[in-house]
Parts: sequence; structure tokens; C-alpha cells
Amino acid sequence: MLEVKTIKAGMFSSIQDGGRKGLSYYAIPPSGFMDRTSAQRANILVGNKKNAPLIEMTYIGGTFQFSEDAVIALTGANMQFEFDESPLKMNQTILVKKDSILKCKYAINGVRAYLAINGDWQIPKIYKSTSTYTYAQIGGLNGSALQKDDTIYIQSQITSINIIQWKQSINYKIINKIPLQKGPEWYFLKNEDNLQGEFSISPQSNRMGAILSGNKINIDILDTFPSQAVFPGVVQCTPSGKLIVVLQDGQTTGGYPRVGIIPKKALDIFNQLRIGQGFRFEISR
Amino acid sequence: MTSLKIGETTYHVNPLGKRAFILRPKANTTINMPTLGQQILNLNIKGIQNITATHHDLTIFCKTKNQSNILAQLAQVDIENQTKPQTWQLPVFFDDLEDWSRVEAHTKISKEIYVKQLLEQQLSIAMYGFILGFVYINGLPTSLQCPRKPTPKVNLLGSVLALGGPYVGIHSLRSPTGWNVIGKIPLSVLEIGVIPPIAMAVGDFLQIKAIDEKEFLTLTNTKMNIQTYNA
Repeated sequence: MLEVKTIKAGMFSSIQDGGRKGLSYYAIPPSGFMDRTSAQRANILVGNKKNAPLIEMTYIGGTFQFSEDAVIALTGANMQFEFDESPLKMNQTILVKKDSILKCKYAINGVRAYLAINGDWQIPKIYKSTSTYTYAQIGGLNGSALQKDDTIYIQSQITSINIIQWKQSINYKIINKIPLQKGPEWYFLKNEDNLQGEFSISPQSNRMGAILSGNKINIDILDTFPSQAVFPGVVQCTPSGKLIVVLQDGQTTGGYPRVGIIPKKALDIFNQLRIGQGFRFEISR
Repeated sequence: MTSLKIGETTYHVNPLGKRAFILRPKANTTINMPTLGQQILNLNIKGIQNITATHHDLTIFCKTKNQSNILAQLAQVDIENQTKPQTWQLPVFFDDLEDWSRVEAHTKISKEIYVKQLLEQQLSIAMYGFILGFVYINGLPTSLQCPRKPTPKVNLLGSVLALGGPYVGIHSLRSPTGWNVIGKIPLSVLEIGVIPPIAMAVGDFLQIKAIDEKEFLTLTNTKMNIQTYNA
């Protein structure tokens, strides 16, 4: 049994998988990968099912030691990965040797990196998923982000290894446009031009939601606006004119108008924008 | 399809993106939408991935763009067969919390009188939503309603009673909230790992019982859940 020991946890590293499906009636959010495209790519590169568990690292990655030979892949944000002091390439299958140490530093491109490791992860499932949802303290290891000395046990399934390389990579630093579909309450906007300005993700953001800095949005809203269904990608506007993007651990209903929806593929990219990185919405007409 | 008849009620069918639609009754109705949502869930209709219920509509998320088969099956739903509602007692310590000043300013009612009037209302479980462990409660008259805060704040207290728009709400977990927190609850209403995670069903009645700080601390230390309290 492979043991992956956490030497350093990084800023916020958690076990995530494809998420919890079909439970929004009970207000259980999907959780799971914030950048699904990158995460699924990592899993495919190591021969796991695309929605298998892996480690999602945020801004500053962790340091991990492998007790046995292992097949891994690193995708998403570039966290200047090193194996035993040697630089590691992203977006390809990598064979690591027993007792090797993987070091991840701060992200120089993007926000979220994915560490996939071949094998059957021995993580209990809650509501059919291993995804960590810290607000309810479920999933992952004890429902929290990884801590120093946490160990992940993986039943390796390596029989032979093919080195696969994914040639396409994204420079997240130059992303300055995010597609936006009009939401059901788009008509609440007093001035649609408010959404044409530049926005950025504020520091008061996390896996539940991204509060945007930017133009104050002028909106007509009743004090007793009824609760509406929301899901990852929905852009709500508060009475004070702030935009909030619902994300993977976010609420399932909300009392603020849904002025827009970021489509799924675009949401993967949105979740790689750094705090303060300016962008504009590209609004579908 | 832009409308759908289920039983005697006709619903607007409004698309939400390419793989979801919203069902909303065309006219005022006594149909309880969360109850309808539960019945649709129980049918396990092939092609439905997820359902979110609110007081006035259902959002149905589909696995594919082809929704005609789902709509045809929804037309067969029978909502007549409902279980008899249960009544739950909920102890609440109405501590001097920060949000009371906002509630008093908006309703023009002092905390003491507000609590007295709240305890007289016939409250019932409206729906689940917002966040795991959150319960929306119906029955709040307009005079006791208080709008959500313009900017959400983090609730660090855990299990609390709160006000938001037309509803009373129960928060089970610490989270950001725009609701006005007015009382502390010494029990857990949430059971993680089971479905449903909240024992109180949509349509059940709720009786709030005001308790003092001493009883609140005593009950908190028992780590009791609401089912045991009501046994």
C-alpha cells in the first residue's frame, strides 16, 4: 500500500473528486474540482477514472513523500514543482521512486494545481464522494484541508506505465475575459453597462464563492426577494451592488438576484484567476 | 414546451441554460413546491440529475439537453398522497445578539415583544436550501419580517435561529450569511451521512420554545439532536 505523507500542507490543499451529484434538494453542494478540466486531465494521465480523488492545491502547494514507487501527474497552476530538488514537468505522466519527495512552491501561473496519483485512494465516501467540504467537515481526511503529517493510503494499480504528455497548457495570467450568460434576473439591472467594467476576485473569496471587486452594480431589488436555486457559476448581485459568483462549495439557494451564469468550461478558467487579476465579462446576447 | 400540467395545476416551464428548467405555477396555488420536489425525487425519473426546490418553484437539472421524456414523466406525477405532518418542539435561547438592533429598527418592535409574538405564530417547515443543515420556515407575518443584510457576514455561532425576508431560518453550521441571527439553538437538527440529513420534513409544524441561558448550556452539553429532544 502506497503511503503519501504530507510534509507541508501548503496554503489550502484538499482531497477532491468529481463531487456529489443530485443532492441540492437537501442543500448539499457538489464540492469537487474547482477546475474540472485540469483535474480530469491529471487523472487520465495517471490511468485513474477521470473523477477519481486527487489533491487540489491552492496558491501555495504542499510537500509530499511517497513510501513506494508511484505514478503521478501535475496539472492546472504551475507551482514550480520539484522532485528531490529537480524540476518536474507538468501535464505528463511521471514515475516517482520510493521515498522521493515532491515539493510544490507558490503558483506562478494560475491558482489551483492538481496532483493525481495512480491507484485506489482509501478515503471513505460521504454521500458517494470523497470530496472535502470543510463547512460540514465531511470528506477528505476528517473533513478538513490537509495538515502536516496527514497520510493518504493508496492501493496502487500500476502494472505497466505509458508516459503520456498533454501538449496544451494555458497561460492563466493573460486571461482577461470571462464568458457570461444572462441570468434569470438580468432584468433587475438598472443599467446593463455596469457589467461591462473591469472586475477582479477579492481576497474575501474561497471555495464557497468569489466576491468580486469592481463597479458597484445598480439594481432594483425588493427587501423580501424570494430565495432562488443557485449552483456553481451563478453570479448573484447583492442589494449593495456587489457581485458574488457561487462556486463548488457554495449555497444551493440564495436570496439575491441571479444576473448571470458563467458556463462550466469558463468556470474552470475563472477558478484559475488570481486575486486582483482584472477581467471583463463577455456577455452572450 | 413552455407549460406543463401536473394534476390540476399548470406550470410555466422556463429554460435555465441548456440542461435545466424552472417549473413555476402559472397561478396562485396551494401546491407545496418542495413537497412536489420530494415526490419527483422519489420517482427517480431517468434523466433528472438534480432538483432544487424553493417555496415558489422547482429547478430541474437534466443529464442531457433532451428534456421531452422528462417532461412527459413529470406530467404523470401524483401529488395527492402526502404523509401526515408532525409537530417538532425547538428550544431557542434568545440571547442579546448583535442583529437584534437591526430587527428592532426594521420592525419597530422591541426584542421582548418580538419574541412573544414569534412564539404565537404557527410555523411550518417550508424547504431545505442555501447550505447543508439550513431549514427555511414558513408562517412569519409581514410585521415580523426583516430583510437580509446587504452584505453577508460570517456566523460563528453554529446552530442558530435567524430571519431573512419572509422566512425564519435554522442554521446548523458556521457559514457566511445575510440572515439576521436572533437566537441560539442547543440541539443539532442535522444528521450528516443520511438522506434526508434533516429529520424535520417539509410541511411539518414547528413550535419554538424560549429557554434561558442555563437551560441552553445544559442542553448544549447533552449534544442531543432534535429527534431525541422530541422523543
